[in-house]
Amino acid sequence: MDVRLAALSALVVVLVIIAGALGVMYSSLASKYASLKSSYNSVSSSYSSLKGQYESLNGSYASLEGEYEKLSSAYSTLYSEYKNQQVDVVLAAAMSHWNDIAIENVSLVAPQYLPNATLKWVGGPLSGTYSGISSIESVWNKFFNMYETVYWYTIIPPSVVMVSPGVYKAVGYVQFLVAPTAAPINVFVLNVTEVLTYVNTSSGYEIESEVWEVKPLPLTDVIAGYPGQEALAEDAVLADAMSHWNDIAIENAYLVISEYAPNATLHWIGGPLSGTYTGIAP
Amino acid sequence: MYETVYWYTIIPPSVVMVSPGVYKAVGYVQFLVAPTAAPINVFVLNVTEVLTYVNTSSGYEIESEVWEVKPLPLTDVIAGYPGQEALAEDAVLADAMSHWNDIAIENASLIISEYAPNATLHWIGGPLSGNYTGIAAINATWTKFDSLYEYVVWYALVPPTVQVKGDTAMAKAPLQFVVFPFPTASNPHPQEFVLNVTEILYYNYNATAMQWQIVNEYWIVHPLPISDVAPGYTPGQYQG
Repeated sequence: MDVRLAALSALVVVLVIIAGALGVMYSSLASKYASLKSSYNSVSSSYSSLKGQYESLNGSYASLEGEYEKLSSAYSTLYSEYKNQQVDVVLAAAMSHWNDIAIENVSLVAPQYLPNATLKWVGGPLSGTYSGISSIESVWNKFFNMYETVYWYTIIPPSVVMVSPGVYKAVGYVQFLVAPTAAPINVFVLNVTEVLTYVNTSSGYEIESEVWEVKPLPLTDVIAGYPGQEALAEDAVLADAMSHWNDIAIENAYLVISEYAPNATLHWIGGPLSGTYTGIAP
Repeated sequence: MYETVYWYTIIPPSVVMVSPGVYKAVGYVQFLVAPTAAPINVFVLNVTEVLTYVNTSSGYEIESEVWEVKPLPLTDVIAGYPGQEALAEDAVLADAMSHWNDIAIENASLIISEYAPNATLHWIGGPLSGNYTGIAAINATWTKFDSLYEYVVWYALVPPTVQVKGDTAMAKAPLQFVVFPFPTASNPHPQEFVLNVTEILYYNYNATAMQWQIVNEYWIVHPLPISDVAPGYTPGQYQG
């Protein structure tokens, strides 16, 4: 055998062996590759799923944040409305107070006070400082007995300010037109500066203190061109007196006696009719 | 229409929710008013008020209001009050009586203070007949009257009639003035006699002066012998 042939054969054998070894290596790599590729695919799909979830969460967060801001602003609006409405609530309480005084109903007025409230009355026969519901009630009863008819208004819209949280002060320049029970003809006006301090309690706003500063005014001060209640009363008496004298002149005894009170006295001084005559009867 | 208004509700007003954001307030309100044109005629407007409020962005606003109103005299709301009309009638009666008495006491300055500036005195009967307009002309007429008689007494035959309507009024009475003329060259020994007067006075209320003022006076006069009113009486002669 030729040496060259032997060498060639050996080379072929070596090459076959190498090829075999390479084949084995390839197949192992190919299988690793396939496994890596499948891992890659799995990671990639997890990633996109996580990414989707992240985006959805992020969206929810933004939407929640928006809602929070909306709620927060709604809360501020409500709070400021609440605060503004407290002023209106106190204003309504003060207006009701004055109207209930005009209605002259002590059972409407008394529950508006705190048990330890004070009423400071400045001016006129009821002047004084009254503490506690029962003494305040008795002042209002005196007032209601003194006047049979009461109308009112405030000369400018009343003011209400917050003194501290839950404490409000109402100020009104109030005029009460009153007819005295004892002499209803003498209608006049009580000009009152009212300072009411209200406190928020579990049963609503109640009066903690009231300052009632009062000054009487004649109707001529409040009705331009009004002749005045006193002038009208004087005219009424003048008309009565002149009618009395004229009824004497026309010698109408029936008209004359209709002008006396039942227990009136006529003091006749001078002449044959001198004497003191009491009572209507002959 | 009204210069002064006081009010109250005869019972506390009620407020009920009609639907969310819609509320109905009902008040039985009395407004005491003084009419600008005739402030003396104070009276009361009795009002049933139904207010429907709707909540808007700028608070509650009135959507509808029903104002049902009826006038009431003060006598209806103040027990024992004589009434604004009765007081006005008394004021006019006092003024009319004072007018006649001021004629009797012959005080022209008191008399002319009772007239409106452009008043007219309609004198019907006798030497002073005529229409006199304005204070100066009226003053001149009463001054002439005063210069004719030295003593004047009067009475109204029946209680005077007075009617008041708003800021106008009328007073009317049959009057008799017993007058004692001043002696004159042509009548040196005068005798007293009677002036029988039908007197109609028209007044307007002047809010600036706060006074009822005579705007028209009808003085319808004719003389009577005193024996007509005092049968059997013979007037005496006197010398001034």
